[in-house]
Amino acid sequence: MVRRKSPGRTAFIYCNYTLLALLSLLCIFPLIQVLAISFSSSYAAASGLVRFFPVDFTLDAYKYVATKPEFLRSFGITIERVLLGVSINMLVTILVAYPLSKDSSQLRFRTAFVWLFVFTMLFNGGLIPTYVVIKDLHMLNSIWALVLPGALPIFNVILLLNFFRNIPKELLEASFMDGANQWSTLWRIVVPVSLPALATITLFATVGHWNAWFDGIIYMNQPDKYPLQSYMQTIIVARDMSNLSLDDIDKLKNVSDRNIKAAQIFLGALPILLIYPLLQRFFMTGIVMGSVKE
Amino acid sequence: MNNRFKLGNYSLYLMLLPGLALIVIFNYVPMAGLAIGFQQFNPTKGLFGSEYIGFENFKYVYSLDDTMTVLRNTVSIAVMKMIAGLIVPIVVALLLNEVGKAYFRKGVQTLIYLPHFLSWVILAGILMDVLSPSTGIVNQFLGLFGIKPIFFLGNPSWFQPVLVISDVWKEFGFNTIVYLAALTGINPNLYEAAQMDGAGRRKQTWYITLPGILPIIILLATLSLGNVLNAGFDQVFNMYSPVVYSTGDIIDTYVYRLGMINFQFGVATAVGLFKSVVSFVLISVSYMLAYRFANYRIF
Amino acid sequence: MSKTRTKPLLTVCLALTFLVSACSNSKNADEDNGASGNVSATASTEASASASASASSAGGTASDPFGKYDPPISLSTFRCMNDAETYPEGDSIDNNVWYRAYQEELGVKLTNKWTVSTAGTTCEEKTNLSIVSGDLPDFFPVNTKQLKTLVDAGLVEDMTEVFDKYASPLVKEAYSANNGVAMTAASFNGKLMAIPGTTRGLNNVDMVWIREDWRKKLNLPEPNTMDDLLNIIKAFVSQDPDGNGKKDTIGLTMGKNFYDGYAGLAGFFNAFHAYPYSSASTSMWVKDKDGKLVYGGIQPEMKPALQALQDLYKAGAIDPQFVVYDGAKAAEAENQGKAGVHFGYFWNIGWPIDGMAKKNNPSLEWKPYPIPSADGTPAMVQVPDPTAYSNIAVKKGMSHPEVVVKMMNMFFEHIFSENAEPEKYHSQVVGDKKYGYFNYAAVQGEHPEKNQIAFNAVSEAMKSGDTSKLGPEQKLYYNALKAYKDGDLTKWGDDRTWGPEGSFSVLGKYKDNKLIKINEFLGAPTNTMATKGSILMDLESKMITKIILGDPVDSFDQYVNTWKQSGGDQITKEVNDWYAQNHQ
Repeated sequence: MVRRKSPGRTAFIYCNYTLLALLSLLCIFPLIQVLAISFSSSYAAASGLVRFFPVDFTLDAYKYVATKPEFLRSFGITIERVLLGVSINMLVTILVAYPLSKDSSQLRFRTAFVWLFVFTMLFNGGLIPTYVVIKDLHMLNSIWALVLPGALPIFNVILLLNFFRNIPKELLEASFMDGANQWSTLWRIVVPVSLPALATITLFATVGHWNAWFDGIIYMNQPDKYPLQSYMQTIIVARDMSNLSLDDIDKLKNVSDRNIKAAQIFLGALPILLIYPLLQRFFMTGIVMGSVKE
Repeated sequence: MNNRFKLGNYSLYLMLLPGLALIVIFNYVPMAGLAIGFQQFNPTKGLFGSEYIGFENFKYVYSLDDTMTVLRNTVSIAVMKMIAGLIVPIVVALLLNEVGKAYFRKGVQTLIYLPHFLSWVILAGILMDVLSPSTGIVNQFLGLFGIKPIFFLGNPSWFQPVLVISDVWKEFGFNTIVYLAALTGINPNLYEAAQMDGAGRRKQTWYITLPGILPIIILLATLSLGNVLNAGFDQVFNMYSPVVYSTGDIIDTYVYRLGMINFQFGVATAVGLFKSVVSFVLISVSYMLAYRFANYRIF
Repeated sequence: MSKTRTKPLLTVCLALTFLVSACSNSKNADEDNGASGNVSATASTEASASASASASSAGGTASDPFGKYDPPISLSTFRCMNDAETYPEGDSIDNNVWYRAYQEELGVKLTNKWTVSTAGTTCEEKTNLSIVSGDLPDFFPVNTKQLKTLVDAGLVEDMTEVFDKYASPLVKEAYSANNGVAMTAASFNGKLMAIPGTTRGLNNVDMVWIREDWRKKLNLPEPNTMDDLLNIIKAFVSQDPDGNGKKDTIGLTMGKNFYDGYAGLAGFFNAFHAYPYSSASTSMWVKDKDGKLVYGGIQPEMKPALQALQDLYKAGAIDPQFVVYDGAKAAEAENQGKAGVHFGYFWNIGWPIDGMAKKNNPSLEWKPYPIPSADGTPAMVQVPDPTAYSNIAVKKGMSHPEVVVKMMNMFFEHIFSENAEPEKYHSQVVGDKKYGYFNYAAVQGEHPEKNQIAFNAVSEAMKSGDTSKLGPEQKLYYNALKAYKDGDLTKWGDDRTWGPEGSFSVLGKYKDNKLIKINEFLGAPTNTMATKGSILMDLESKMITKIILGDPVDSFDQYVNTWKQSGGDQITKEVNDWYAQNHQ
């Protein structure tokens, strides 16, 4: 785009690259340390000797994790949850955001509707009443308890309705001229031109489902139905050191090994870390205008 | 053209239905539970059997010695986080936008979003090492300049900045994503036209890019007002200590400690309700202001 | 050895070693072939039949402590399990050796409404939700707080009568140990409202763990007095005990939780005859000279102890980062060989000290010492909570409340009695996997002193060389000790636990010399404790932290006033009322 670069511009570019590279280093550092600990001996890990490189390199931690059925099982449940949950999230989010992106002349009581949704973002009844509702719906111990209560992330709705609003009016009007109704306009025109926004929201929804752990522990009746993060929570949570038996100590040694924790943390985070690079190809500029021109 | 009275528009209401059903069932029905905030809640008597005590729970929290300190800390930490958490991602998004090489841009984007996925339990452990006065890398670095070791986590005047900086460090990469998405929505024709007029990169950024993502900035700023009383329980809880209570203790950690022995559902609900009301008022006011003065609907 | 001489108490065996934890009784020692020579031929029904016969002859009641329900009954409960628990192939917490035994022997088909991890607060939260949403199973484990709520609301069965009628002699004997403290917390106005589970016994007390090799290297005397100990702590900072020429060691390892079983301060305070303890479940109450109960943490004895801690801090013997460190983080310095003194429980050898560490570093030596005294009077160690950490409550209106007592009988019968089958019901090592079967049982208990009994038996055998009286489990410890004597350094952990210098020898000294101070208050949190206790706890941790870091020690007096005014006086009154009610 820019053919001739001024000296100032060149200096800026160099500074920019350096700065961003430094920022990246700063951000990758904790993960590097987790990775280094996971490849270190449990002694080195427990002594806090590991910084950036493994000490007493070993694969023991990964071998141990490989023998743990809990890890893989909960991983599978998380995949199921993410696939089901994100599909539902996206569907409902799009369905709600589209009408709300219209103005009051097209959707009467629009303002009231928006506030009805926004209100739920700020107020909630708390754990006990929510639990009772889920229980009365007989959703305890089923994947639906993890998927339905949060099926409409209001933040994403608001974000999406703002993106929808920016779609050029001519595009929609052309569609209506061709005789399309709201439904087909939404799916044939609005959704395809909103890919960057949808990619963003898919990412948020995925991350939201991936990171959620509390609902798993509360709504699932057996640990073998836990999604990954609920299981991880039981690993990384600090242990009460005031009341242990010899038997507990025996177990503590297994679960407190920091290299094993680190290996699970790393393996647990890996898939979600890979999601963003995959979604990045939807973040292309000019999609909206491109389709107007054609 | 006017679609208002065409049958087709009923489909807009139909589209809203699934979402409305969900929030009614999973949000509005449980909201009956807010009554707990006005009750002497007895778990065995339940929501309908417990005694109503009016605003006693609110008064109780208000009467505690440390409430004002804690409230002040919460607002100060939360506001600093809001401001830094708004500016840093915008700046980074704009800087990334200036990067020509796609692989570099994508690489940086991916790397800076990594810390978001590590929990505060883990990051707090890492920060303790990094900031340690005896062995921490930060203090070793400062030592090169003759600065005496600082116990960042045990020093009341350093604690808030540490919270803010580490929170921004954890979240800025993730928050950048929204702005990057917004940048894609800007009409490339505008840049072409600006170049024709001889506008430089800086002017293009100032007159096209920033105004282009301004709606998203305003939106996120408004929504972040909802967090004015959320200073980040997980982060503070894993990093604070009695030494820094004077600047680091926040509403959520305080209420947590108050409820250690007998979880006080009534008090906790009352505090939660108070936070919700404050957030609601702030968001409503900014919504009204934007509409009244700029004729702009934030959402 | 004749069976008739075998007291049930002696047949009680142990749940512990760091490698294996199988359990047996002294009868098996006759066969003297350890693990395999078990009573496997005894069908479990036979075991209960013989036991029930002996019970009915002894008790003379018509109620059968092991009676089977015919037709079978279906019952529900919920479980909080350690996530490191392992199960044999095909088994789970819903279907395991114990649940099958309940069905076969008692005719009880037991199902778990839910199972949750013991990590963090999830167990308590989930239990609270079940209570609040009225979703209670037939019987379930609760802590004393939850029990109190349930008792106040009249939601649980009174167990006094069924316990009297159905508990087997073995169970009754275990529960009467240590003056029956286990029963106290589950009793409300003299009525037993739940069956107490496993107790912590009197083993949860501090000792002081010292890097013995450092102490010897620096020619310091053993810590017979608190001054000796303070000198050791200071010398470990100033005299370069690790000999690397750098001043990089820490004197006293401390964490932010002052009453933890590792790197806490309870032992330090006890040395000064001060007894502070406050936690989410209880606080430590002692008798003053008038026989009135007073809170240990506001007594004047606290001041010299706080002064001594402050002096240590000023001398640079405490890492200022203790304020943010939990146990695992505090342990790093020790693991690196940069710290050599801490207060903690008997299991500190095992975690965080690695019982195998000596193998890589033969010069390493840790030794547990009893808490020394700051003056001429021997120091007493505090036991804030000797009661059961879990109680089995029975839902009001359940048709067979006695079933819980029967299950408890069964647990003792299969694990601690003469007919025990520990390999089947307690634990077993299969290949490289260890299964702690006993943890699957929905109702568990134990004799509070079983570890100490094992220690005594093993010590005796080490002296006499006569192993005939040892159970297979005790034999394992004996063999480990022998192996260590013969130079097997991997058995160091066993030596430091069961050996003559081990942690149970220290516990034995406390018990023999009556140096254990048990909390005088053993009830559930009183009303004011429930509402104000957290605030007081908070005040206390702030006060201790700040004084160590340099606030004037006299600020303690101000703290005491605030404590009293912020509900402390009211709590004192309630605690004394409780005492009057329960000690007529």
